[in-house]
Amino acid sequence: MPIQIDLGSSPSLANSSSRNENDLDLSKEIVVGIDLGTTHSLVAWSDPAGASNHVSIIKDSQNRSLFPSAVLLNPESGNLEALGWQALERVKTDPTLSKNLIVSIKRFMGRGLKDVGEDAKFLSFALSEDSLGGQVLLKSGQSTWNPIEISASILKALKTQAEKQIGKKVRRAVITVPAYFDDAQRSATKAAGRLAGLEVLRVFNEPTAAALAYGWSHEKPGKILVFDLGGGTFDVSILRIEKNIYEVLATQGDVKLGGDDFDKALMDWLRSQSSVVEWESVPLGVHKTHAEVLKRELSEKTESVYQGPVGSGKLLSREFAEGLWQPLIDRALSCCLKALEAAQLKISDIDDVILVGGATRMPSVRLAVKKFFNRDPNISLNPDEAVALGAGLQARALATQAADKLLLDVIPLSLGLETFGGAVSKLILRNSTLPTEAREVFTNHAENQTGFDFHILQGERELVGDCRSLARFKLKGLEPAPPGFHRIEVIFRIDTNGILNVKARDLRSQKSHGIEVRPSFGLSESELLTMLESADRYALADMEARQLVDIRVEAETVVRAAEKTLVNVGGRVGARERSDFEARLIDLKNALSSSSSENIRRALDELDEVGRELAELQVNQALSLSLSGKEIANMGQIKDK
Amino acid sequence: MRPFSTLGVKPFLFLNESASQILHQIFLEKNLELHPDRLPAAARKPDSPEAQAAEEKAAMLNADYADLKSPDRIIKRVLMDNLGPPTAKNSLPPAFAMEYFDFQEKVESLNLCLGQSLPDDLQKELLHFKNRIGKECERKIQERTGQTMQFPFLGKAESPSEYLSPWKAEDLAKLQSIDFEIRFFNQFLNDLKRRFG
Repeated sequence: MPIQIDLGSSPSLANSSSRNENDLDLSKEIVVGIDLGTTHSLVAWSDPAGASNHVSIIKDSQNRSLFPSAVLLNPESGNLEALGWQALERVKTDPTLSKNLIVSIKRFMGRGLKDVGEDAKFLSFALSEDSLGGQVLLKSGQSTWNPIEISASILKALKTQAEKQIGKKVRRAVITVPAYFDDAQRSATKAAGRLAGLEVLRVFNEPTAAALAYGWSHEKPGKILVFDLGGGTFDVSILRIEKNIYEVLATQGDVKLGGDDFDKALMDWLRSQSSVVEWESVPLGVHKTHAEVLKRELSEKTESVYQGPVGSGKLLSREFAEGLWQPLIDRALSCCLKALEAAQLKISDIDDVILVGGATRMPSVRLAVKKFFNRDPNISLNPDEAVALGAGLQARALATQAADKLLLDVIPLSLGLETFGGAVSKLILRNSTLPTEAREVFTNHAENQTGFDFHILQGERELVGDCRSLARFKLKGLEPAPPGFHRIEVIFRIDTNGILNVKARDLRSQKSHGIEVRPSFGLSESELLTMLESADRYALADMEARQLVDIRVEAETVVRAAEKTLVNVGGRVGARERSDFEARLIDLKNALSSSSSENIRRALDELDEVGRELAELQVNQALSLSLSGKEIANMGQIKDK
Repeated sequence: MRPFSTLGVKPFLFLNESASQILHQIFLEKNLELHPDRLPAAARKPDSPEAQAAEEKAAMLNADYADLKSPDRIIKRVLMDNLGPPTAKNSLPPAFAMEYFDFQEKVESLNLCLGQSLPDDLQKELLHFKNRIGKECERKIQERTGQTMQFPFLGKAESPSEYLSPWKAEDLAKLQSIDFEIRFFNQFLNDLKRRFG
């Protein structure tokens, strides 16, 4: 559903998503900021009634802020099996499941089969294309998944996690996207938010979010360059910060360049060193996990021995790996050069270079940036959390009465119309400040012509075949008239989210005209509404599935704690108590493999019942260890802690 | 007269650096006033009339500021906006529209693609349209605003390269290939459609 259409009284997306919540006062609502990343996602929030500019990152029960953007599907049914850390842990325990693990789904958002290319290597799924929307689809078991649905399931999990920590319902969000995402990708992200039960107040550019987080802690005017190398995408944005106005001067990027590609470069080399049969006998996901470990080790050490299923024992130096990565780094630096050119600035005009995104932890990336800009890059922001923090700040600004900072973002790619001979006439140029618009007047060319066709494209190239098709429009319902009679003004407006809206009106009668949209990618409005209806219909089933996921996580934690308790204090209870406990522990482990949350709950309660004595002993042991050697006078403080 | 009136400045075609900076400050101040994010939170719901009106005003401001940064775009905008929405009074005569559509059909029937040049007779016809429209535009702007503005790209251009005469020499060099000629011919047709139907 890439394009929003606004024609007078026609229902808009926003209308339908919020029709039951019109009485809500936005200033009292919690709005979260979500960094929906290729490899990991995060949520930040702040209490609108709390201290100004206080934003926190949501953490899970194990104090982890990162939530892997990973989804595990059931091998037979193809239904959703596990999400986030749980999905990764399941694959770690049983590597054969890796072929059912979906990672890097962000690379497929708003994309057609033709666009996917090399990215298909990140998945072990059969890919097909939606015959109507052109969006790539993933086939698993009996199910077919749209990337929007997969992203929605990740967003839903993040929403639930946030609600648990905040203790309130979360209905609204700001979601970040790479600055270089085109209209179809932005719209797909917005649709995913809506499917997850969120009203998306803003689709917000990742580097701009990072700049906001930077400005939050650095309150000084100047021109900054944000170098954002994430898991799957690269963005560079140049901003001028002045009197609380964050003005993006230019943005450039590569939506197919990120930390994943550095892993892939290592994988490609390792594959070249082994036989095809040997390499292909191991699931792709397993190779990827080991390549990622190698990359991390080479960020810490100058050499490392590869410990993977194929090619184990090979010694790699960081210098050698840097040779493999150099083309990727060159691509990123070339984007920086283009951004400087577009902003009409020299390297020396930049006051600070901010590194964001987990992949900027790599020493080779930092060194390349330092050499290119002839200065030490600013690494003061947590590269994983900066975007989420910025999104949280923007969410707060949108939720509270007065935004003290104003962000002026830009459209990353030009927008144009197909003209004769397959050329593209640019309507709105890239790096134009948002929101923006272009107006075109059309007339009927033939006798009794009752409509027009338009083909909207996005990109910098001059020919239709080299640009990305966004949608085809049909302006219809014109009264039959002689040529040149009708004067229809079509307004192409790009909103603050960077998403195109189209309006049409007859300049003679001032009446609105119907426009029929056929999006080139993604979901049509009717498809999205069907999905939302299904979500309502299956809400109970979804809730049960969610309960199962939650109770499994709880049970797995209890199993780990129980095993530790047995080791620590198992010898201090009677043989009968111990054997009862061991038997119930086995029952719980067995229940974990079932798909009944009731069975797991029962097994958990039974283990709890027989394990009280052991639990008390474990607590006493922990207490006595923590108190040993302490003065009586300090015990009150320790207890308070 | 838009785009100048949106930013509250007098009409100009070229800006020096200090004037550019002043215009930029005006642009920022206007954004502080008009941007949808500056609305009170209660009015900031995406579907509220206030939010939609603010989106519209801010979009107009940003588009007009973008045009004011380029003399070429100012010329195009002045042409478009000052000729106003087509009416019986300011439209070109219907005979001209018919003539133009005939021409357009002839071009379309050739199924021109990149690498092919326009036949000589159509080249002449194209030149005829350029001259006629150029003169017509200059006359109308003079009539309505009292200002004389030069429209070099609608003047006596003999080739698509000359049609783009306000461009820099290095840009013109890029336009020598026939592919670019076709492209700018297309652009010209688009301009014709935009202005006169």
